[in-house]
Amino acid sequence: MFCLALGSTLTMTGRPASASDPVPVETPVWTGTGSCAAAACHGGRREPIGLKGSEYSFSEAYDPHSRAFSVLYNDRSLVIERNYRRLASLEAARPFEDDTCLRCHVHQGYDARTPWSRTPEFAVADGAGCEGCHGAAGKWLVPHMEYGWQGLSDRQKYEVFGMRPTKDLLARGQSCTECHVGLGSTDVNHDLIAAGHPRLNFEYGSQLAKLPKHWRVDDDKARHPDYEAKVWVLGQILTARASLDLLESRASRSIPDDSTSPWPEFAEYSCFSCHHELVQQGWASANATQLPKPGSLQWGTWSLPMAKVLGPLGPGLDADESGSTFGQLRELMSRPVPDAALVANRARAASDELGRLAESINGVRIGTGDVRNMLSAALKLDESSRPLDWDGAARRYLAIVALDKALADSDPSAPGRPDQSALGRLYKDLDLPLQVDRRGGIFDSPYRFDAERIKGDLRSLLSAHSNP
Amino acid sequence: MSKLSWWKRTAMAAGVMIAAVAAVSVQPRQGRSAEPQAPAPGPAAEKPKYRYFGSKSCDQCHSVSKERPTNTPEAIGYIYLDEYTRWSTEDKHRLAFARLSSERGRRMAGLLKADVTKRETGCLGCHSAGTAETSSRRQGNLFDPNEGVSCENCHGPYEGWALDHTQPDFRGWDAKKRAEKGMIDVRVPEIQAAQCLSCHIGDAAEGKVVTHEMYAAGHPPLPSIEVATFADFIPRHWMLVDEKAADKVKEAEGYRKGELERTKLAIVGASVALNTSMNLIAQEYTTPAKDVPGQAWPDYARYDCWSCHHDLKRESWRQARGYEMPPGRVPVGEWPLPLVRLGIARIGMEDADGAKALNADLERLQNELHEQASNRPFGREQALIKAASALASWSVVVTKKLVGLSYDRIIAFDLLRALVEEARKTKPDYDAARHVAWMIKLLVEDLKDDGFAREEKEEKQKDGEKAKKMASIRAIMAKDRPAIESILSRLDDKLKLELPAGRKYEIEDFLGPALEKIGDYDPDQFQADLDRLAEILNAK
Repeated sequence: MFCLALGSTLTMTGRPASASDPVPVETPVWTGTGSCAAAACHGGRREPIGLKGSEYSFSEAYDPHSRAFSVLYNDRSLVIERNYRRLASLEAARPFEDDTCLRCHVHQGYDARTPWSRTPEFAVADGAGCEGCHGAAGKWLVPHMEYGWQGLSDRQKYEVFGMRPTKDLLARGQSCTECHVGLGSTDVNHDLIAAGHPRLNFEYGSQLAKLPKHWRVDDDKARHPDYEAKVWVLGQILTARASLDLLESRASRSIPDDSTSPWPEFAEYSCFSCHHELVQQGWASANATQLPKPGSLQWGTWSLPMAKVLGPLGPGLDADESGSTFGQLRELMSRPVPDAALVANRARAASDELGRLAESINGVRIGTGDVRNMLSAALKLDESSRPLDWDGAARRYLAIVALDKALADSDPSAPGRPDQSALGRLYKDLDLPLQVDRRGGIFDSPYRFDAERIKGDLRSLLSAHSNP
Repeated sequence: MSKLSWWKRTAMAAGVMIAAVAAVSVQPRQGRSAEPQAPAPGPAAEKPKYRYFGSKSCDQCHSVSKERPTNTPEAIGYIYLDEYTRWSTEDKHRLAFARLSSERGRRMAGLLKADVTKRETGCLGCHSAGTAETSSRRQGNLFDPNEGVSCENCHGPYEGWALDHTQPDFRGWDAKKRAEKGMIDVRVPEIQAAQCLSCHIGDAAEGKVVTHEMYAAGHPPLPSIEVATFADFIPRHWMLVDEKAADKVKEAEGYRKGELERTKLAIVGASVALNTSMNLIAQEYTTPAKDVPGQAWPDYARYDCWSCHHDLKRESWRQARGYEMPPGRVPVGEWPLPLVRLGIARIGMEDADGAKALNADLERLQNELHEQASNRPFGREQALIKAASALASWSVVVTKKLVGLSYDRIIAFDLLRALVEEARKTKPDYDAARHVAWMIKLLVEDLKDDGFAREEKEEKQKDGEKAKKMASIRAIMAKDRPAIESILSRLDDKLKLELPAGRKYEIEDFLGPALEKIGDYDPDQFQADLDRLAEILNAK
């Protein structure tokens, strides 16, 4: 119950307010990463890894977030900025001064036009620093060093002081999605991607697993015995919900007559719906012919496909069911110019539904039986549904890995673990991570993708799972 | 009843109808009559006058037979008289309808959930003289769609002129007079180009539209097209004026000695291509046909295919090059523009100020088109139509200027230099690069033929200056011939300039390798080839 209530408070910046959201009345004040970095506080000895008080030192050395600002000086960033702002030359490009970039590359919520919201110590050079996840420290920097702080609840720390409860897996994930999926003004849209920015493919579980951590995962696991399962399940809902919030924002922003916001927004669709070379026997072309109308765009291929695996934990989330909330949205979004107002309404309703679901799941322990069922569902091919595309297959692979880990965690002797060599084959057949050497260059397109081969990999995984 | 009497009756009936309808079978489109006209979007207002009967009657005179085993230009002097035979045995157009029932056609039909052999689904607009509902064509009792794209598709329905065209005075009829009888005078470059491009780009008023849904279901992409090159690949069943032996006919057709007809057709054709493609954007959505799969606004097929259809590369040449429009928006296809600019360069050789004004107009109209196509993804329908219409109307003016100019070898050399010089400053996409490369190839061919040497010799006797210029051009072209040939052969290879001519190749064999070339296309390589060519052409 506590978690449920806490979950509902986690929408401090950016996310469109729902009735249950608290209204932030004050402008947060950012004190900068330097305010955390004192040797006696979080800038202590880095080695051996894992020392308490080394959070800043560790992150500064190993966490790529700390380099989020400095990458804006590299060649790629200059090209992106030149293309995005249509500048005459690379010399004129200054991405490190462009709010569109800084909102995420410094941290979410940053705005160069609000200098009063920062203390003099705040430095953009710190990149996505501590406050990006923990919240603006203006109100809690001093109190959190004082006697009595430890006695406060996470809820009090957040509601009164603005410190985010990052120990809560839902709250933690939400702070990721604000940049890694996007929201409102932090929007990596198709214009920006075409200019050269990488596409955002957020997957909470796998990205959290890969992040060099300045905290102990054992502590997470002690707090959440179902840690692996919960991160994965919440991740499905978080990505889907953040995508819907972003969709609502994109649709709404495009409605005014004088709007310059792009609509339709191509970043909503599978990149490979369009971005594939035309070949006589290609997977993308073959997939395009299997849609209700040949050549229509495929929406939500990254954010939605695994939600249906949640089964009883998340009923009604199957986008392949035409009457479902997602199914209706997908139908709307497959039109060449979807009705923006209708899309915004539907996306809002679907996001609210997911918000309630996330809170309820966050409050319960996910059992071994649930994990086993979800793993079975992830392995099972639904031959009658839409064509298997790379996005869906990659998400499926990530689901199998995460749920396998969750199963191992909850019951190390559990039978029916996926065959690791078959899993390796699937990884290879998906060309993961997506970098394909071809014609003397590196491609981000899965041009070798073969749906039949992937289905074969999945079948052999399923058979090992069903007949341990 | 003899055929002749049937023809007579037809001709009489046609004569009566001429009075009733003035603009016979001439769409308000560029090139369909001798006078270029501004586009007027919308379905044809008048009921079509003449009916299509197919090719069977043409067969009687225009084919090789036992009674007439061979036909040579010498026989008549201006036509081969075996056109039907060539068309029916060598020309792919003959198979256009049959293709609808090929494996690809059947697969497409299944995916589109449509009977592609029926006129309602819009395929017959191009695959036969049968048509979509929006079309102005009617069919007579002899008409058989199985003939595919036959004589009347290009020459117009013969109901009105079948008899006339056998009469001696017919050679003197101009395009306007022929058009009144329903004949399309394809001897006139802008009319020929418009006729080819009405299918090879599209013409909504005639129900000739390939929608994105059709492409996605398997229709091969319509490439950029250089009309003179494509005409040669049909293969050509007609003589160029220069090849005609009958002097009177040559004279009647405005023959100018040394005139490079293919060069002229290519340059005029590019301007007509711009007109046709802009008209298709402007016109399509005002004439929706409900049974044609995928015909609604915005139809992705009206935009540049390769802007979206490419694999994603880490070091992308598009991103390195930068964008004229906001990145991530889809441009409309503009591949004819480099050759349209070349046309303006030709105008500039006679009228520098006029060319300057045309270039300024083009820049303004193109900027407006970019703005309207990109101020939001796909643009806004009415504003885009307006911008495309403006560019279409402007292209009519350019075409009119181009058809009045001469194209001799000295001019061709200057054009070649100008084309290479301009094209190497940009990084064109595949379609535009291919269009440019076809033109380069054509100009080089026109500059190397034997006629050039003969002409130079003749000029020597009367105009020393001109002969001197010719000698210098011939020297440049001869000196570095192997280097030029090697550049052309690389362009050939990289851009697949050879086409699946006649029945020698099947599209199914050609398409795979052709599509691979598009994926492999490297504008830096293209630019490097043009740099080398520029060095050769500019050598003192």
